[in-house]
Amino acid sequence: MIATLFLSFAFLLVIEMPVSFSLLISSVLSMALFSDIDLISIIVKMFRASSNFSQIAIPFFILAGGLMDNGGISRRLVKLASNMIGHLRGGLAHSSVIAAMFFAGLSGAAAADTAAVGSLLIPAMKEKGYGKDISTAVMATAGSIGIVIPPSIPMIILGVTAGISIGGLFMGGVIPGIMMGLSLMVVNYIYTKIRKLDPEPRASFKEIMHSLVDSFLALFTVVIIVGGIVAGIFTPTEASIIAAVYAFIIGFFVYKELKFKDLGPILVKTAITTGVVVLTIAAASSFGWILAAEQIPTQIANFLVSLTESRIVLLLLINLLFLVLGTFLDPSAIIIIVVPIIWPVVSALGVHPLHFGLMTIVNMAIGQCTPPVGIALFVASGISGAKLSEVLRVHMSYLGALVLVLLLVIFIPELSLTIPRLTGYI
Amino acid sequence: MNPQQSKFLRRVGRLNHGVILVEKSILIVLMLGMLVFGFLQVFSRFVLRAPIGWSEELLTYSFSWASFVGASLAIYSNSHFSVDLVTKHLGKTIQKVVKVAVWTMILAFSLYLLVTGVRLALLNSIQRMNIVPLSMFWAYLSVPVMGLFIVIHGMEKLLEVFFDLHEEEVVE
Amino acid sequence: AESSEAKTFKLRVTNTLTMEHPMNMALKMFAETVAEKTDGNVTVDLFPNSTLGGNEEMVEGVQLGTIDMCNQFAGAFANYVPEMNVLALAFLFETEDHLYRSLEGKPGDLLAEALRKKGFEPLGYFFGGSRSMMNNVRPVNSPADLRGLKIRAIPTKITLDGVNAMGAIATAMSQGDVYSALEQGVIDGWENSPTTLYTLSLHEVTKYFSYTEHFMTPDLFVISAKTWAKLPDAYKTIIKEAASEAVAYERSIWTENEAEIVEKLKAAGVQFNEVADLDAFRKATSSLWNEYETTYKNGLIQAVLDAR
Ligand code: NA
Ligand code: NA
Repeated sequence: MIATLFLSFAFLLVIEMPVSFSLLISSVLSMALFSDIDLISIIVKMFRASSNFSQIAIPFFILAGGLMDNGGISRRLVKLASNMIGHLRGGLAHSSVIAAMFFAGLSGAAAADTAAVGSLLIPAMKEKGYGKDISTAVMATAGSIGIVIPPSIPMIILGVTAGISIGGLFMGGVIPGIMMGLSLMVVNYIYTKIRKLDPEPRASFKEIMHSLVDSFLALFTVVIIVGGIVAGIFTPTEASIIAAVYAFIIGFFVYKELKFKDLGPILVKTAITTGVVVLTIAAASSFGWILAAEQIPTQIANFLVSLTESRIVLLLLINLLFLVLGTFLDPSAIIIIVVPIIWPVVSALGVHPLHFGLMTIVNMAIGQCTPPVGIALFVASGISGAKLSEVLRVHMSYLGALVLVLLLVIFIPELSLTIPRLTGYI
Repeated sequence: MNPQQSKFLRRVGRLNHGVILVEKSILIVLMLGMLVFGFLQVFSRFVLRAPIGWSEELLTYSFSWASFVGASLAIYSNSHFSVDLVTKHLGKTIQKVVKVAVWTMILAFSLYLLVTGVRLALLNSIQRMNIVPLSMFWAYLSVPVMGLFIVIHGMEKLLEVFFDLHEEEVVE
Repeated sequence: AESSEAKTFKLRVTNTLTMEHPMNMALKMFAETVAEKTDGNVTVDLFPNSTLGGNEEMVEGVQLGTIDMCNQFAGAFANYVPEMNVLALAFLFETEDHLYRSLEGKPGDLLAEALRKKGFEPLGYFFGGSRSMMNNVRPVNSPADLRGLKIRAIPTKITLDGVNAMGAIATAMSQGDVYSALEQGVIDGWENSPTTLYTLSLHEVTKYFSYTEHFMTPDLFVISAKTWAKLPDAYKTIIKEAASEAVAYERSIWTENEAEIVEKLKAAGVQFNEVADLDAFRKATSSLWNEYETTYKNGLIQAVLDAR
């Protein structure tokens, strides 16, 4: 069964079947042939995985971005950013990373982070000559930091599943999250050198002040989102809706650049991107459900942990398994299916819970942007309109930087443990 | 292509234009509705301090609907994410064979979605939603509707690749 | 779930809980007993931690027959069997014994009949403790203390009504969002048992625990009617007996388990308080009983009251 499932999936991917349909068709095929479970379970799971409130942040941050773009908010913010940091090499790409890290401190999901920041900055980067590939890749990988810097939905699931302190995980995520951001900025720097993306001339103080005044209401978008979440007025998911409403009001009534006739196409375009992302997540959930119900990951995990008693070899093997599963499964699926089997063994070898937890989360973050199923990658390429073949080469460099950070997190426990120790979680 | 075939093709084309109009209308209504109810959810909790209990559930199932209808429209606009690394190295004839195979499978699978979706929606009609006074039939209905729309889009796509017609870009 | 040769069955049972939870300890025992008494012909595989889906999803799966068994707080079945809402009425059950007498008596029979009509074969009720009020503002001693507090409740009408009637601002929210919502102050508190507070690590963001014990909602352990119909009678008997044993075992270890957990929570800094004026809460919520009776007119409330 497992062979049929994976081979048919791989075959369908190769002949350019959409990823979502590849997952669904291979699931139906292998279930029909080999399983005792009713086939409808695949469709039930598909539906249930789509009806998930926290995913609502995806369309509404994208919508907010679309409204800001058409309503003159983006233009003003980009002008301000380029006046302030345009004279630095790769300034806009760096600010994408920094904005994503900053937003990671508010939101707990990678897709929301990518949607929130990317819907503004991907169009801006394209405009400034970064190309579809860099703007997609940097935003997909930077958005994945959303689950490493607290708060983080996968950390909450991991904490509950493995009995690890959620607060400790949150604190532990700070250093690896910042390292991920810095590593991406290094790749930014290299690419801007290769592509000869020259910095813009430094803006004068007067120009900066002028764009600051001009973008005051646009900047207030950020104030509203950040302020609303920090003050406990709304959740990060609800913030996406408020952001869209605010962008509409400013663009339509204040700047008057948003036209009524633009509204329909923006809404439809947003819904198409959402449909692509959500159908794929839902299909991956069906795929994962079959694996779980047939206890396949359980068997693989049990096999892996029986292979070696060397702590470091085992950790590397586990991370390899996570990376492979991460290519086609959602973090929460991997955590609830695999971690309960692996964690007791790892724990017995004396690995600190927070060290294990952080390497898992960084690994899951990478999984959010690895093809074929990478939700942050989908959101970013949905906004940029890039195809996989167009971004893959550049994307691999950004992924490589994140894998390097993962290795550091695996080999240097203190990266995960220092801040929890300082804040009293250890 | 004989006259009968081209007549059939035109019909399929017209049908698709109709479906696209329906899909777009559904999406615009759903997205605007979600904006309104999401805003009300925050407003009622924070300002009125009397949260409306049903907004989150309504938003959640509207979201399923919007996602699935968006996914069917994405089939028409070729927006679905795929791995386009291998097929472009193939010869013209094989490419065509592969494309016909892909669209045939999508068509077959969406027929399955349609049939199973109807069955599931009916089976779930005895389940009520948590708070919104509706049967889960209405939420599950999104699945066969997506199936139906994709069947209609898939027919045109299959005909296009079969007869080597140029793809229309209808959705902006 | 049967193979062509010997009559063997592979059953999947799932819930949202971790393996260390008393209910999963009981289910492990259930699986062992069933395997032993059927000579290994019926195997029961346990899928904890929502491995096969969340609350609503697993009840739906059992109803459709894609999942064989699950255990879920009884109110989760009310979307199919509205009568089950009786188990989610505030302050209806006075003691653990009162709850058990009701479930094993006439009210239990009425519910079982209603459950069977919708495709669920009940196997027993685990004890899930009592749900109490928790928040980050002040200890709760009377309905007045709840005034103005946004309290997350299970997003169903009956539970939201109950929490509102107690004086709080009931806020519907899925469980997964509660940690961040408490941390960021979107809500002031929530309500559940000490065991759930601890297993969800929510004590890290929860200050006060006040023993209001307003809901005494048991967990229903249930098998899909579709699966049930496939099983030979002899196996049905074995499964029923093993389930009763598992339920009895779970109830016997619950109290001790919870006492240990309360000690751990106290050590972690959660402040517990007994509630001085429970009668005020009872009075505030009793109208909901009447509302239930006028809605369903099935005599369940009276049957529960008779079982006191
Ligand atoms: Na975050
Ligand atoms: Na991935």
